[in-house]
Amino acid sequence: MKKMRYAAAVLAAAAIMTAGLGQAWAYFTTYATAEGGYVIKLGDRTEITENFSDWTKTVTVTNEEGAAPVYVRVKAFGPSTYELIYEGPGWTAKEDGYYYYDGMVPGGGSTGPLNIRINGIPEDAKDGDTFNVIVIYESTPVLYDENGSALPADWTAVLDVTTSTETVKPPESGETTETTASPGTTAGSEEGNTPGEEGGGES
Amino acid sequence: MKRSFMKKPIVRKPKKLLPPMAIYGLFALAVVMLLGSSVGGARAALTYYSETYSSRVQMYSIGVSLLENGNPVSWRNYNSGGNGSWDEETGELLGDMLSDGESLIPGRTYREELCVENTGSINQYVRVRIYKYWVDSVDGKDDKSSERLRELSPDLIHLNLVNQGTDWIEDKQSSTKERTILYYNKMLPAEAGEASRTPLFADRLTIDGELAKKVSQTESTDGAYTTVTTTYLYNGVKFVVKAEVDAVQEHNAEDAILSAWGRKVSVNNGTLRLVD
Repeated sequence: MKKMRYAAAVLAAAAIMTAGLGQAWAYFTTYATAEGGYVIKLGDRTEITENFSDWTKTVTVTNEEGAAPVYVRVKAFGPSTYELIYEGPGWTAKEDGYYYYDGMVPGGGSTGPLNIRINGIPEDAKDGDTFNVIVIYESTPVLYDENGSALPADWTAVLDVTTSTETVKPPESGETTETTASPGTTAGSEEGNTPGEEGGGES
Repeated sequence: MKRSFMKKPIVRKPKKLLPPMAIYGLFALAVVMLLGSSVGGARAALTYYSETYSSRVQMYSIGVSLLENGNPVSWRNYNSGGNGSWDEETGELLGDMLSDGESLIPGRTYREELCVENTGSINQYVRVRIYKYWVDSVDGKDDKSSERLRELSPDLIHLNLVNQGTDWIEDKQSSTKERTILYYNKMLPAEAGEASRTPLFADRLTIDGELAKKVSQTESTDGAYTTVTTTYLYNGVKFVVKAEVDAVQEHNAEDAILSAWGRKVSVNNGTLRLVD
């Protein structure tokens, strides 16, 4: 019985002495935290507008207000029997057949007009004869170097496409002439005309 | 018969004034009184001429600050007044990177010099945890509660780390694509001026221009017209860089670091090494 009392006393003393160990094991520590960031704005949306008059397509590409600057190039395809004559201030032809707009198109800006004249329309064209002239335009976003200077357009860049979907609508009567595309993509508009008709309308 | 008596002369002994014990007692009393009188004087002197004495108690305090481009942006310092409070501030990183109305340009390099300063009164060891990730942004606005977009790559957020291996060592075991943990491999002294600052652990930030090529596409055909719509995956999302600085006391550093950070290290002559 006496031993039990001694043991209890020793246990109590040990408990009292170890009560402070938690504090003894604490260390001086501190910290500081900061974070920050910015929203990325890459959105750009370009639209092509075509006017057709006197066997000439007048093409203009517009970049949406607030969008990032883009580079633009245009190319037209037509029957080999009809020569296509390009003309427009600020447009430069290159060996690949594309016409490149000089400089970048900022958000809210437009290219100068590019006139594509369809040459060699026969005088004796019959009613019902048709041919197509298709205009392709492409845009690509302006990239920058480490100093913030714009880099030349890289038309060989390959997009990293993660998803792709396709929808098809049946043809509708009347010509819808507005075609939109985002940078790095190709948009095409096809123009069908009947030789001998005057004007050809707006595309 | 008459008796004749011869009278003896009377000799009287001289009378003693006090017994010896009384004399000794009085002497002792005199000594005590003499001493007592001097004590009274001393008391008087202390009363009139005592000076004001001041004492200073040194409290050990720990503190650390994160510096961006030479300026403190966040800190947490123990109040040296000993009242148990902390002087702390949590600032915004990259806050001065762009001017008002300026948009971030992917591909461009921005200055982002980051280091750590010991702003306490004791020496310490420090580490930095850097996080890079993307969050959703509602209408392009800053929203810290936005959801983290884990499908977008942190690799496109280039925070250029410097002084690696010489001053800072990366804990590659604990680092991920989103998180990098750097340990300063020296003791960071307190109250040592410039020496209380670590060398830079980062010096510039670039958002990779390659993100402009990450897209999803939708192609629709409407009669004779085909429209290909390309959507940028990174348009309208926000990148975030976060830095967390941890500091721990120099004393008993190995155990302190293991306890506070859960990382086994060795410290020899002020040099810290990671133990695998």
